[in-house]
Order: sequence, then structure tokens, then C-alpha cells
Amino acid sequence: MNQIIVIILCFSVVLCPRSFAGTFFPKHDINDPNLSNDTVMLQCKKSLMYAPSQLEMWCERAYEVGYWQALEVIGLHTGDGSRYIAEAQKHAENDEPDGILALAFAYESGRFVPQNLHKSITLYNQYLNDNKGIEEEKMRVAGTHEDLYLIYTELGNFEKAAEHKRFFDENNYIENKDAILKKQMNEAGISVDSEQ
Amino acid sequence: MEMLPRSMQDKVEFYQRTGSGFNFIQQYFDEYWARGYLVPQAYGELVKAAREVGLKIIALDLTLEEMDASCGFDYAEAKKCFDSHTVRNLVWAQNINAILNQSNQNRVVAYMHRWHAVRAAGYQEGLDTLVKVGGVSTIRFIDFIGGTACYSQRSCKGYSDEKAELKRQYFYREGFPFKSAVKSYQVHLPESGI
Repeated sequence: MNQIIVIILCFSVVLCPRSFAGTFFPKHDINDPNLSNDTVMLQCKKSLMYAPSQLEMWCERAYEVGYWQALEVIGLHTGDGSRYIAEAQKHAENDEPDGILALAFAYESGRFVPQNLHKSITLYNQYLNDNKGIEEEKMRVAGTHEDLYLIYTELGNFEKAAEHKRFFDENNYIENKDAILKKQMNEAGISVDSEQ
Repeated sequence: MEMLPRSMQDKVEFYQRTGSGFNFIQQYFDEYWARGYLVPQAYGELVKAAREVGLKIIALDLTLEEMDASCGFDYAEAKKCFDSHTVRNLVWAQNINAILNQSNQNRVVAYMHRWHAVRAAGYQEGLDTLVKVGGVSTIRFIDFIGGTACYSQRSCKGYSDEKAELKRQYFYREGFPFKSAVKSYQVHLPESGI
């Protein structure tokens, strides 16, 4: 009888501790074979804010299933982004848009590399040259023009800044972003406008 | 504050007006923000303190169900749609801008995780740029660092690798180690016990 009580108590102790991840971090089983790769990557991203003790586990798994961008999250957590930069460089050298843009943002923001706005401009322009007119890349192209507008503003080159601002204004980038948000929210039945 | 969803604004306002009903707010923190020992209670104290000093408390966030209105990583990175992190940021920015547009006398102090305040990834705009795009220019970002995290009353420690002397100090400095679109400061909390 005493043994049964001990087992129950132990079981209770295992079940009772609160999850320090909170309910913003779903309790997925990393070994579940039905877990989609997208869910693994989402867990990696969410762990940065909601479950840092599980971050490396989820992000290494995300990397294994093909999301090299998961290394950025590891870098933000550990302070060492060298693996991420190496991967971004490799993908950029293969002319992959994700790699080019990742490296461009790294140099623009000084994330894991010394900030270098001119290198960033070169990379963003490389992306634009490779992808202008491609319908699939429409929003990212406009977003890149916005990034270049901000960089040139920071550099004090207002003529170039205006050139890029003209592009995303003429292509209604801000309006298109609002429309995407409204569509997503409406489809989920959420009111976008709120009065406080 | 990030830690309350908009759906609770009525309960928040009732508490603010009457001083009653705080338990509903504390219950929400207990259920959704149990990140460690005393964390939910700390958010509760923040709400109480805000009311005591006369600040209006605004629930910024979406509910967990509303956050499902998002898309996967590949589509979000391609900017074809927004992931839940970005949807939240966009809605919070709209809420904050709406308050500031109501009156030029209005001021806002917004509590959130740092990776909402600034750009978390290349495709995830932070509140720093989103609020600026909404026309607000006077913004300061204050990043709290240091302090302790507790798993229980007896298990509290800091997780930094600072020198011991630095761990005991309370100080601030200008700047932020990652890109921020606004003037930023870091406030270091000492690793003293609770």
C-alpha cells in the first residue's frame, strides 16, 4: 500500500510542475513522425521568446529538415551566428533569393557581422536584378525597395532614397500589406479596427 | 501590454474603474504567462501599479485562436502573408497608433518581449518601424536585461555570464546590441533575490 502511495506521489510530482513555456508554445513531441517540417520551424522560432530552454533542440531539428534559417535563431540565443552566416553565404553564392536577402539583412543590421551598409546595398540590388518582374517575388521586391529606401536615408543619399520610395509607393506596397493583413484577419473572423 | 488580449479589455476597464474583478486578470496571467515562479504575480503587480498611478491599461494582444490567422514560414519569408508574430506586431502597432492619434496629449508605455519591439528576422518587422510608419516619431525603446529567473522560491538565479561585480549593479546605457530603428537604452537589473 505504501509503495502505491509513493508511486502516485511521484507521478503527481512529474505531472504537476507548470510548463515554463506557457501555452504560447504548443507541446509538440519532437519525435512525432507526423510533425510537419513547417511546425518544427515554427517551434524553433517561437522558442526564442517562449521556451528558450528548448530552443537548440527545436532549431537543430529544423536545420536537419532543411531550414538553414533556424541557425539565425540559435545565433540570437547563443550569441554565435557564425554557422548562420556561413550558410547564408553558401546560399547567396548559389544565387538563391533567401540566401542573398538573409546576407543583405545581416550586413544592413550588423547581425553577426560588422554592419556594412554598402555590402547590404550590393546584395539587395543583386536580388532586385535577379527577381524584377517575377510575380512570385512581387512583395519581396517591393519590400527590398523599402529596405533600400531606409538604408539610403540613413546614408543621407536622399536622391537614391526617393528613387526607391517611388517604386514601393507606385506599387502600393503599404496598401498591399494592409490588404494581406485584412484578408488574413477577415478569414479568421477577427476585427482589425479597434477603438481604445 | 502584450500579456493581455484585446478580448479582455472590458474586464480590464471594469477593474480600472471599480477596483474589482482583478482576479479575472490574474487568472489569465496564471494560465497563459506562467514562465517561472512569481512571473504571473509580477504581471499582476504591474497592472495594479499602473492603475494606482493613473495609467489607463490597454490589452494589446490577440487571443491564441486569433493568432492562428497566420501562415507558415516559407510563405511568410516570401512576404506572401504574415506569420503570427508579424500579425500580432501589425495589430499592436495599429492599436498604439490609434491611441496616439486620438489626442496629441496621449502617451503610451508598451510592455512586450524585445523581439516584438524590434525586427526579429528580415521579414518580421518590429514595432519600432511599424509605429514610425504610422506617423509617430518620438519613440524610445528600453530593453531590460539582467535580473533573475526563478523556477521556485528556492531556485532563483541569473543566467548572464557577467562578472560578479556587474551582476550586482543597477545601471543603464544607451544603445541596443541589435538593430533598432529608434533611440534605445538598456537598463540592467541587479541579480538580487526576491
